[in-house]
Amino acid sequence: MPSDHRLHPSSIVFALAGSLRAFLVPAVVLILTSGRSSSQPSDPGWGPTRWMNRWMPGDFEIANWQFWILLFLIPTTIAALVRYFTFRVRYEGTELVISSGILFRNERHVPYARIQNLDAVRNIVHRLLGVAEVRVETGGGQAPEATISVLHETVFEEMRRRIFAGRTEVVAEEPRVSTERELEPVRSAEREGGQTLLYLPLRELLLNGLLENRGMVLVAAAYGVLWEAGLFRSVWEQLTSGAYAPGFLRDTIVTVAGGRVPSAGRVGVLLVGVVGLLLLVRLLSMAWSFLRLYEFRLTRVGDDLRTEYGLLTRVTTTVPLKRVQSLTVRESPLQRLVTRMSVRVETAGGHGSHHDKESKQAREWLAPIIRRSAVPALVSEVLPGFDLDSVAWQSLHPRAFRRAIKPALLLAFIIAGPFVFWFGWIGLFVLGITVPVFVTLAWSHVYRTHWALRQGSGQAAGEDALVFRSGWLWRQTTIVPSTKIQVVGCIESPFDRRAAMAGVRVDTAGSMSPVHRISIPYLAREDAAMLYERLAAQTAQTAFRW
Amino acid sequence: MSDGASGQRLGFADNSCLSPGDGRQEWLRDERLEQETSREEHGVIVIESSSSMDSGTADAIADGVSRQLDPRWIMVQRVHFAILLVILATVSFAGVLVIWAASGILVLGLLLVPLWLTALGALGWLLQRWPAISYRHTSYRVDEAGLEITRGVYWRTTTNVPRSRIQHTDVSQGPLERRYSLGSLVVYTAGTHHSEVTLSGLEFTIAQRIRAHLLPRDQGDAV
Repeated sequence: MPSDHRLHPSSIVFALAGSLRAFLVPAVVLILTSGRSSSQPSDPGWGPTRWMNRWMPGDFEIANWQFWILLFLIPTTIAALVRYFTFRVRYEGTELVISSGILFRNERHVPYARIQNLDAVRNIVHRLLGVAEVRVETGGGQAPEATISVLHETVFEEMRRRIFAGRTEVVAEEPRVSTERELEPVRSAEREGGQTLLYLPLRELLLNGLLENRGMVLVAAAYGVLWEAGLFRSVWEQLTSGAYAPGFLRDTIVTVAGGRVPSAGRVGVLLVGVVGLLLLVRLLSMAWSFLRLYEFRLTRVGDDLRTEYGLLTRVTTTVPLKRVQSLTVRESPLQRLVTRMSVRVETAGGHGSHHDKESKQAREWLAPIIRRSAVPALVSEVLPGFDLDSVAWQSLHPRAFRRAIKPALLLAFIIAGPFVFWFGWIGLFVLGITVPVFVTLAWSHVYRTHWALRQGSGQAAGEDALVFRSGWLWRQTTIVPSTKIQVVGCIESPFDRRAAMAGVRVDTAGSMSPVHRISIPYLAREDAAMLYERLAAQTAQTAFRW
Repeated sequence: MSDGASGQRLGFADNSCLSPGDGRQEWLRDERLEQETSREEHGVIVIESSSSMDSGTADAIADGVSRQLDPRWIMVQRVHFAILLVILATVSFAGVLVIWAASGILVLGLLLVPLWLTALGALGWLLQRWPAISYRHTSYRVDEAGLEITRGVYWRTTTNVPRSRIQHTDVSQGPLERRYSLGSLVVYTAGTHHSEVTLSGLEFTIAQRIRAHLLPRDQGDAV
């Protein structure tokens, strides 16, 4: 059959590499911890190793752990071979058919129309070999419907083209009126008549790294690895050449707590250390952003949104516009300083697949960083006809802050209470910290928390949407088209009841931990009832289209 | 069987996310439903007939009237709680004995055992009362648009599941529920937090009829 595709031969190597990676950390630890002793060849080995070493040529000896790793690799190898020889992908009408297996034959049919997103991940080895790891996701299930590792790039291109074409056939092709935008040279997307919505130049990438504190993650990861390997102490000692042992910080704290003034040198070293660490973290974050999002490009190809990015690992994701469950615009305090925002979308694919978190998060980034002025245009591109600037925001109940501050104060006192009880004056100092912090939290919970219900006029009933924004420092605005609302809920606590308030919650299909859950608190009861009724009615009127 | 409920019939589910005195509340076992239910029980195949049910009977369920659960649900829950209480009592009594033995103080037992008895008695009394209280605050409403469930004594929630969003439904029955011919309706949606909405304590045939009503009729919502 001409349209029959199989895996790339290198898939066997990748499968082996994948299972070897599972052994990597234990092996490294083993080597490091055994240290000198492993360099001595006196280890006689026991059982099968001993027997095998008799047949080994020359000085080469297999240590025990090497043997066991080899033994564990056998099933993986067999599985990879079986997979390679039996795996077939073909296109039948409007379906993608994936078959595999010898003993347990499995044939999976995935209709194009049900495909939520189609992602391809190419790390540096993949790119050298010209292959890609492809993920096909539909709405149901825990894991991707199909993780195809690995296909030749041309096969992936064809798959994407076919899936895309199969969908537009149904929708009946409509000529797109492309608005005037600067069209930069795009590779694959351009060839298919794509339109660039966002391109991140180097400057924006570095800025993104600076604003998003990713460096801390790297530092934490490095620390974890070092700790795991038991190397931390030795590394520290090497770095500081024994002058400042880990007790340095503790000593300083003890000195300060003891009411004595630490020496100027110590303070200097500490300050330099802290500032250096902060700088290092930011620099790492910028490097991370550069590597991860290099050449970030968001394009619209027909009715699909396509993102491509990455320097070493090149990721290509495709999200059909219709599959966007909700859209969230975020703005952190740092981003606000430089008038940038970030935009994410949620899709229904691959619920709670933790192992696949990386690619899922990646897909949700519509725009990791974007100028504030460009946000409304992008939003109206994703949700046609939606104007973020002309939203008629509705407020919460006027007494909302008074409600929110009570539990906050209570919590602040509960936390500070034991300190006051045991330490007296120092406890009051703690109270002086917790009260403002919790009052701020309560304030940010209520201030700028607004909602709006947009009702499309007449035939545009499908364009109804609920808009919810919240947060004071970290601001988030989420738009949910009412066709994507799954369940509407109304919640009323005893305290709500006393104050004649209620809250409204809306559930959508999306990731298990939504970025910004729509839960509107402290509404006047009439408002809540009205909102609830209208949402329920709007939702019931429209059919859900994944 | 429904003795627990008869006392509670004075109560009213005034869960008030929606306008409080809605006035459309009705008891489950109103005359019309009673007839239909009994008629169906005489039929041999109950489950299968529900799908081929003519729209007239299905709409009798989907009238937008807020209904309460079957009063027998109170009894079922009491039995559930009783089992739970027995387990708890056994475990905690063993714990009390261990503490007593370990302490080696004879008088401590004289203090602990009455304490244990009091705590258990209070819990038992609460658990005996709770099903009836929660029953009073639970109601459901089925109409053309979908299913709406109201529940919660202190934290009151109203959950609306539009019919067009229902992916699939279950009607399940535990051993105890079978004894009282009750059943649970479980509605699955594509949502994340409410991906499954459970309504327990319906009469089994009614659960099936609601299910039959909620099943997507038009096949046109395929994407």
